[in-house]
Amino acid sequence: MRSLATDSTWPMLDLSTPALVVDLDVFDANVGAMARLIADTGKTVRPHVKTHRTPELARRQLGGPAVGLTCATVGEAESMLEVGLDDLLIANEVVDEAKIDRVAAMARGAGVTVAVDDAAPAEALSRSAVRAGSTVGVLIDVDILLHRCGVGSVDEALALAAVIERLPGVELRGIMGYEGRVRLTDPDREGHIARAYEALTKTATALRAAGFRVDTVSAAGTSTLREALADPVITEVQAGVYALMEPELLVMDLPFKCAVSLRGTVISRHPGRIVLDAGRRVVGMEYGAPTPIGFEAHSIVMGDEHATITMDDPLPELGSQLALVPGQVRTTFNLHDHVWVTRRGEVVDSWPISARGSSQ
Amino acid sequence: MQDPAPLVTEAHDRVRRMYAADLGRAKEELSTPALLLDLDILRANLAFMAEHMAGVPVDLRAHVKVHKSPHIARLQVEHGATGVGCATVWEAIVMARAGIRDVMVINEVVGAERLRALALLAREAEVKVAADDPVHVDLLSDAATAAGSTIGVVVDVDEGMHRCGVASPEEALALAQRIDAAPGLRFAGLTGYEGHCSLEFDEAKRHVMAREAMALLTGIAARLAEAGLPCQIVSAAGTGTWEVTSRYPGVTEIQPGSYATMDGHHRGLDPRFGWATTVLASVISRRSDRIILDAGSKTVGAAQGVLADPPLEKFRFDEEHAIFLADDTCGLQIGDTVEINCNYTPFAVSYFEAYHVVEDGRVADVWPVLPRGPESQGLLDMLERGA
Repeated sequence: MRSLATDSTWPMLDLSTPALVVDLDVFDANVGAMARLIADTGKTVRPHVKTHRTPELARRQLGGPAVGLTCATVGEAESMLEVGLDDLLIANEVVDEAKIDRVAAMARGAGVTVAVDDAAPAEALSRSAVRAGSTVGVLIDVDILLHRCGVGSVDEALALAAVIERLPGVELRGIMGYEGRVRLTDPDREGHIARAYEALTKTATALRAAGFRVDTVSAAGTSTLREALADPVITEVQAGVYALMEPELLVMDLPFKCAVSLRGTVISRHPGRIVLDAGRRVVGMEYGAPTPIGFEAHSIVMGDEHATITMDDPLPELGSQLALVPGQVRTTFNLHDHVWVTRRGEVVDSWPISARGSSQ
Repeated sequence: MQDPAPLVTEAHDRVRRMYAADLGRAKEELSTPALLLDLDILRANLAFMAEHMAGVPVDLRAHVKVHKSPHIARLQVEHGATGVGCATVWEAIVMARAGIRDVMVINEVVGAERLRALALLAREAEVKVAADDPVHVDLLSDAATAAGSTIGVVVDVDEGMHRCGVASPEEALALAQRIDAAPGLRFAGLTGYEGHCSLEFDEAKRHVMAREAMALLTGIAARLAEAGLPCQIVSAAGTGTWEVTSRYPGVTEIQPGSYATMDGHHRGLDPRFGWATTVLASVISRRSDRIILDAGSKTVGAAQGVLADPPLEKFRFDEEHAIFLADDTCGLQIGDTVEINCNYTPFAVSYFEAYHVVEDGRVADVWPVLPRGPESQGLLDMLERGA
């Protein structure tokens, strides 16, 4: 496995391992590159915090065209609100009463919007908001490609909008859809994206024609960023990974670089092979083994607590540290309590991943 | 077994306070996703293991890295385990403070913080650790000498998995002699893990592979004994090979972990143990052909999971969602809860801070996952202060 090509130096750091590290210089450059990409499009970006679940990183993504944050769970939203980040979209369905009450309570002191795809949770949300004395925004979730949540037809969207319009305490703010990661290797990439945005366009047009307000059309992730920015119907993008990046997205024509590394220590050393103290309990494995930085490997096999790496001589010494870039940063962050922060190759801080485990 | 120290009781109190509203509730009514531990199934798994162990002249060292739960570890000791195995120094500290005297870090330890913590822990518990390099021996000896403690060291043997471990009897002997001569260290024997066998689902083939691995391990033990270094401990096995290894002459202890909580992977190897941990999830969206649950790879883990009741076919796992095919013959509606059986429990445990302990369908207690992450989280400071 070739070392990740990168402008950064990935200096060795004196940390107890396994340790998660974000290069803040690269992170800031990614945030700046997003602002430049989106400038002059008239659109906004609402960075998705499920990527890192770290309020201090989220705070640094805001400003300019970044108007607020996207969350996947109520717990993530609460963690952001706790540090004063108060324009929050929960781009997911919330159905149980305890969670609906938490959403309604948050909306007393913050701008809170949630996704809905069914009348019953919208009605429950309305009752809860009325009790709490708050107003909760809602976006109708449209199934545009993923076959996950979301209404499946324009008629369903119209019927749901009519229900929402009659409910006190909730306010229809528009629609959302999420097309998921669409890779360059997808043989019908253009078709998939075009049909997804066509579904959004049809739904927005029909709702507006029926007299409903559709201020927001929220969609897209980092992999579809260029297509989303070029599409007239979309008003805001929900990308998140752009700020930290994942190796598999580097093949795309995007101005973002990898900002996250996982540091491990060589704990065992044998002819042609070393073992690091960093395994699947600290690295998200959904996209396979992590990528080496600063060294070349023949193979990396991940155990729960170990990375077994085959490589040519000279092997690194026992006790030396190596860096790996996780294939999946979102699940990787969810395995750590804090992230080390570097500037110009020096550790300058450690920030809590306060929404770690906040899947409720 | 001593009573748990404040480190464990305070963590227990904290999660009980966090989930105070859940205590006594029916599991179907919990906020989701939640990690459930069925106490009856757990006890049955531990009893099944205990019954077998009573018939063999071998000790049980329960590996705790799977569950990271001091409470489950204590139950394992109550069911006959003579000690625990850990993957990290931080796990060893928690288990010692849970009241368990015999803790072994079945892994190589380097790094100043971790060596210091291990040596300090050896002042208050019977601590053992694995080594496969002269450098480990020197580092451990320096740390133990500085802390004024004695650390037991087992030579890690590569039984064919090709991860850590020495590969030859000569290497093992040289390392054992170095340990024996090192100040602050005590040569305690051998450890090996035939993890490559747990990827072989044909039981007969797996047993042949495990016996080959044990021939290698016990052969090295015999060689060391001839050289005047008898092995107090010859430790091996996981849940895929625990039974065959426990019957192999010369093995003194087995170190399985998954048998307690279980998962799909290990039930494929040994279905006699029941599925004690599940992830409770809610239906958050109901489409005509599918249900969408609020638990995905960020809670169940990258190895995903299956639905047994009702037995629905998986469509896809995303980070926060699992999607199962369900036509209108399936009665599940928005808000209903189901239990996902994890294919690999360690991944799920890493994502939660607590187990909801279920007895007779209700939450009897909430137990902390401890230690939760890879960091020290103040454990070294605690030992330094002598707290």
